[in-house]
Amino acid sequence: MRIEPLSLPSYLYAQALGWDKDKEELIEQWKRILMFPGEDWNIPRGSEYVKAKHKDRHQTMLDPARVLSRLLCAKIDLALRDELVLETIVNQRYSQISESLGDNDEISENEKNIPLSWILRIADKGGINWHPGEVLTFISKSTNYSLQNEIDEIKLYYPELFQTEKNEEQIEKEVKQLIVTVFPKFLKGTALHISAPKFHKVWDQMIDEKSEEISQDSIFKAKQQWSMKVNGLFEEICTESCSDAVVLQTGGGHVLLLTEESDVKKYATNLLEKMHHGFYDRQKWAPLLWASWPEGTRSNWNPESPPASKIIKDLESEYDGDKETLRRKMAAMNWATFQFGTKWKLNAHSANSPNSQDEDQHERFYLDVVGLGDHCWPKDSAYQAVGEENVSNPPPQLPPEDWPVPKRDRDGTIRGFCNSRTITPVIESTFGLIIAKHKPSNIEAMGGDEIIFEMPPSDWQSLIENIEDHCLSLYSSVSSEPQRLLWWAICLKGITSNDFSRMKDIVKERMSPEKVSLTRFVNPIFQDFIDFDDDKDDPN
Amino acid sequence: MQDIKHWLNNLDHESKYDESKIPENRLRCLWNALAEIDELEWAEARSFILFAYGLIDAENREISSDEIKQDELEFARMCLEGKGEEVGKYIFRKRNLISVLAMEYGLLEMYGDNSVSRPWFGGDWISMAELIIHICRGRKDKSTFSKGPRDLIRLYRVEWDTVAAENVYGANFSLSYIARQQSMENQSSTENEKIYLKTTKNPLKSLWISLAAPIGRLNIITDQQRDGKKGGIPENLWEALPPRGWPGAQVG
Repeated sequence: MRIEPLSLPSYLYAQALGWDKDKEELIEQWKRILMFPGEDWNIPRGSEYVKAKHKDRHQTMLDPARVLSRLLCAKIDLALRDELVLETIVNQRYSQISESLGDNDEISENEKNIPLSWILRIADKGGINWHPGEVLTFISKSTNYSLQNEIDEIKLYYPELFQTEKNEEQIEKEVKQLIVTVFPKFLKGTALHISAPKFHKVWDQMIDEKSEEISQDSIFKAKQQWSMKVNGLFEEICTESCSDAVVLQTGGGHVLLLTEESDVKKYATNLLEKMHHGFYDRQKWAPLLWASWPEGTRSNWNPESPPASKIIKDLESEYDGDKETLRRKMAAMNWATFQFGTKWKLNAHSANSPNSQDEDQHERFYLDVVGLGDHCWPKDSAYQAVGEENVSNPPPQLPPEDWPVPKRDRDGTIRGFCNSRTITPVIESTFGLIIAKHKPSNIEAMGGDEIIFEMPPSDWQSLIENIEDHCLSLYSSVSSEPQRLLWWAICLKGITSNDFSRMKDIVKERMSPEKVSLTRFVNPIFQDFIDFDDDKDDPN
Repeated sequence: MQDIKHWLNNLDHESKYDESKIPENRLRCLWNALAEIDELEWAEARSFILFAYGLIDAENREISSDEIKQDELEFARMCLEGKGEEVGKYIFRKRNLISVLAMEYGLLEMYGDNSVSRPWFGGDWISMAELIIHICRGRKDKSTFSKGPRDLIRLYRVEWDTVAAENVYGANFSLSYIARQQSMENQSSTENEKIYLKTTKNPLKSLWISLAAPIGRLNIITDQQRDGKKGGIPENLWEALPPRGWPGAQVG
C-alpha cells in the first residue's frame, strides 16, 4: 500500500472495526476526517476497539489513519484553491455575506480561500448539520472531478456514505448555502493562535543539566519522551480549556481558535492560565505557552516547577513503561502495511545479512525539516515585539516569560496555519515511510519535525531515495509549494552531540539560493565536508 | 562523440568563442557520454564528465592515474555510506570527479562569475556517486548501475510549442537542436522529446528549463495529475530559466 491519500479508504476499511455495522458512527468518523483530524482522533483497531467504544481517551502515535486523512484534506484544499471554489462562492454572494456582517470591511484573498474544514468545524460547533457524503460530492463536482479517483475509492468501500435521494445540483446548492451561512461567523471571530513554542530552548530552561547529578542517558530518554508527547498533550489540554471557542485547526503543536469574545486579551490570559493548570494537574509542571492575535500577545510561564531530577525521572519511567513501549511498538506495526515494493534494500543480498540483522551494528540517523518555523511563520509577518530583538532567537539573558511573542495580522495567521496543515502531513507521512520501509531497530525521538532512529548503515542511500520519491509525489499532489531543500539528513556515526545547528548554519550559508539551485528534497550533512576552508579561488 | 573529441582537442579557455564553454555543447557531451557509459573506459568517460562540468582543460585532460581513480572511487563510496570524507579545499579545488560530486551536492560552485550553480543532475549527488563508482570499476566489472541520461539530467535546452492550451506549454527537448551547428550524425533517439509544463507565466523566451526530476522519472509527477502527462508538470516542480547566458546565470 502506498502512502498517499488514495490509500485512506481501503486502509480504514481494513483497520477500522465496527464502522460497517454502525452508519451513524461511520458518518461521524468521516466528518472528523474532513475536519482535518487532531491528535486525539483514533480508529478502533482489534483489542483497542472495546476501549474506543467506551470512549476511553487515548492517542495513538503517528496513526496512519490520521496522517492519510490529513493528506486527503491537504489534497482537497489544493483542488478547491486551484479552482477558486470558496472565493467564487464568496464573490457571488458578497452582498449577502456583507449584509450579515453589518460593516464594510474588505474580505481578503486569504480569507476567501480558507480551508473547507474550517467552515465544517464552525458549522459543527454551531450545531449546523452537514453530511460528509454530500460534502465529498460537492468537492468532486466543484473541482471539475479532479479528485474523482479519491472519491471513487471512498465510494467503493463506503457506498452508504453516498446514499441519498438528492441529486448533485441539490447537494451543491445546499453545501454552498452552508458555506454562505457559516462564512460570516469566521469573518466575525478573532483568529487566536495558541502554541507551546521553542521546544529545545524551554527544555534547557527546565533542565539545568549542571545543577544536579543526572545521567546523560536519563536526560536523553526523558527528552525523547517529552518530544513524543508534548504536541498531543498540548492539543488535548488546549481543546479542553477552550470549550467556548471553535477549534479551527490543531497540528504540529499549534492550535488555531476562533473566538467571538470582545475582550480577547482577557480571554487569552484566562485560557493560558487554564492550560497551565491542565498541564500542572497532569505532571506538576507546564511548558511555556503563547497566545497571539492581530491586536496583541500573551505569554504564560511559571518557573516554579519540580526539580529537574524529578521531571526527568517521571518522563524516563514513562518512556520505559509498558504503555509507552506498546505505543511505540504499535506505531511501527501500524505502518508495516505501507512497506510497498522492494526498493528499500538496494542490495537484496545484504538485506538479511548478519550485519544488517545485528542491531549492534546499526547506526543512528537524524532527520529534520529545514527551517520549518520560518516556512510556516515567515519573519516578514512577525512583529518584533520587543525593540529590535529577534523574535526567533531571544537573548539568552532573558527569562522565558520575557521572550517576545510574535504578533501577526489575521492574514499572516491564516497563511501560517494553511502552510502548517500542508507540511504537517508531509512530515508525518515521511516519518511513516521511514518506519514502514526501513523498520528502525529503535526510534529515539519523534516529535514535531524531527526524528532520530537506528537502522543498518547500508540503508542510508535507499533512505534518501525513498524520501526523495515520497516528497516528489506529495509535492505533485497535495502541495503547491515550490520544491526546496526540505530535509536535513545526518548519519550520526561518531557524533555524540544532538545539536547540529552550527553544521546546519554552515551548509545553509554555502547552499544559499543566491549560490546554488538544487532540485532535490533531502540535504544530507557530511560533517567532514564542512571543515573545508572558505577560499574563493577558482578551481585549479 | 566525434564532435566532443574535436572540442577537447581544441580546448582554449582564453578564447571568447571556445566551443567548450557553450552550455549546449556541455549538455550534449554529458548526454552522449551517459548514453554510452558502458562502452567507455574510465579515462574517456571521466574526461567527458569533467568537460560537462567545466573542469577540464588542455593541461589536465590527459592526466589520469590509478591513484586518482582510487581517490574518486573511495570518495563516492564514503558519500553513499553517509560518512563523507575528510576533504579539504585541496581536493575540491582539483579538476577531478570529486569536484563534480561536490558540485552536484551543492558545495562547489559551477561557474566562476556570480551565476547561480545549477548542476546537470539537479543536485542528485547519489546518482553522481553511483556513476563515479560505475566508471571507476570499469566496464568489465559487474555493476548494478543502469541509469541513462533520461534518468539523470534535469536541465534541458528546449524549443517551445507556440500554442499553449490552458496554461500548459509543450517544451521540445532535442539533441539535434543542441547540435545544430555540429555534426548531425549520431543523434540520440531522444530527439523531439516533449515535456508538458503548466504555468501561468509565459515561458516562451526561456531557452533552458530546470525540472524537479529527470525526464525518465517525470511519471512520478504526472501520475498524480488528472490528465497525466498532458496535464503538465505543476508550476512548483519546474522552472523556466532567464533567457540569457548560462543555465544558472540569473544573478550577478
